[in-house]
Amino acid sequence: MKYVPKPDLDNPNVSKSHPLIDLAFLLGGVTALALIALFAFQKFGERLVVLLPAEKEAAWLKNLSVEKEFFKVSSHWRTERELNELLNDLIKKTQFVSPYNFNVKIVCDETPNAFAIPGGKIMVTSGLLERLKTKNGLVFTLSHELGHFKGRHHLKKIIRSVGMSFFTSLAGFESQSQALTLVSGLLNLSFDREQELAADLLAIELSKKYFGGLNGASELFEVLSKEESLSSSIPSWFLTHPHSEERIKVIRENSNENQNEIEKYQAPGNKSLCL
Amino acid sequence: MNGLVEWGSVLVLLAVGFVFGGRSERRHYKSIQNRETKLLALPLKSETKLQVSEIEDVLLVTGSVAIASDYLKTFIANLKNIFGGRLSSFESLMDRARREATLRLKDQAAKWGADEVIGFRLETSTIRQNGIEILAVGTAVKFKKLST
Amino acid sequence: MILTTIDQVPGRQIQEHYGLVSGSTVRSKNVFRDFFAGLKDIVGGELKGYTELLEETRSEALERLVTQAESKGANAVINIRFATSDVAPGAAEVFVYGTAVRVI
Repeated sequence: MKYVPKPDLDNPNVSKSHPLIDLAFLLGGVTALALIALFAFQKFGERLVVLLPAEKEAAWLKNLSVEKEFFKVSSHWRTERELNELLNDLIKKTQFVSPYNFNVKIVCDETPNAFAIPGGKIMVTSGLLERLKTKNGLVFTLSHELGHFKGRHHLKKIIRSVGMSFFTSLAGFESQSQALTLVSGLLNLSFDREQELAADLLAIELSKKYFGGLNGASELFEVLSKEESLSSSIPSWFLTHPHSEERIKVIRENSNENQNEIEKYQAPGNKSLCL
Repeated sequence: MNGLVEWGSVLVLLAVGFVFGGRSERRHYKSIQNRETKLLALPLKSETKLQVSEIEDVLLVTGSVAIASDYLKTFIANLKNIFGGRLSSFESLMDRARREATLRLKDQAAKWGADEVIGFRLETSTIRQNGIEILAVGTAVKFKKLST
Repeated sequence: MILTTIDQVPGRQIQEHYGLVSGSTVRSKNVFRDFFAGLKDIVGGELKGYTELLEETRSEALERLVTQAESKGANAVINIRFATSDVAPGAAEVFVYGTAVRVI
């Protein structure tokens, strides 16, 4: 038979869709998926978390004392005692009800920071104590951490991440979930910021009750924002905490007309706190 | 801060994949179309029966190529794994690899002086998750030249 | 040794056949080829190192097939087929098989 060569005019084997449009649709779908999964686990999880009474949680974690494994805890017992006396005074005067065994410990770290550990321990860094000059700022910090305990934030965070891993592995995404992880990472940050604001609100309430007004309460954010020079240029979606200016605004919005006195505070320097 | 770095690096890789991958793909397609036109004269058949019985010589010819997909294609493929559907980002990859392997086979046959290639077969295998290798095999034949 | 992918040797007649013969090789690449392949994963394009690797592996497998056919007294192998697989990360196996025959 004779060979009659005919060139191919078109290529039916390759679809004409543009890869970037494909990508946009897919990312949109993944974002929607992550949103649905996260909101479902967060809202549903919050209901579950409430079922576990704080009293039980407090009782279980009463003797949890692992902070020495992770942090350099200061042995400056005098300051530690002062802080604990202040905390107990705060709890009594504001009639703050909570079943945890609250305890303040000092962590040797130059960076100003404060955080709450499940079980009732509040850790404050020596760097923060050094920079805080008012009792109002200190009380606001302690109240903020109390806010995390009241809001059961530790448990809620756990439910969120467990739920997300459960969803990812159940649906069989595993290694394909690189995009899912990225997107849900961003969404998780927004939940974290929500929690920080909720803790701020409790701190505002307790500070008002303790001092009569919010004068001096924003000192914490002023101290933090001095350290934040780099991150203030980063849009808030990438941060675990809302920008300090935003948090100061919330304080101002909630202020009453009371010009309460600002009480001075002086902690021993970093060097004596952490030999 | 972490989120920014993670997102940033993914976007950079995607952009690199899109720009350089796209460019190399277009260049490859141009070269493929060129060579296909040149080698159009050499017939390629998958049938195994010969129409001509006057054969002078026979040679096994092969052509193979291994191509990797770029970051953007792989990313899209992973996402598609969630929703299913046609994976158009890989279609062009397979198409190019197939045509390239076929051209290399034809090239080898043409250099040998073949008149026809029959018994054409294609085989695919994967490399390292997102690359593929195509092997094209055929039998090149030289017809007996009728001397007048 | 004549090799074809079809069920005959064009222009010749099959006298007798000796059954299936095969050849296989497994080869692995060196680290440098792998490294460049890793870079190529981002920009795409041909993996020349791998193409070479597979060509070498294929020729070696074919040689082994030819040796086996010769030992049986064949002078051609028909219906040749290849099977390639990625057996381990960084290694490729090529398996080639066909029917060994004697043609006149």
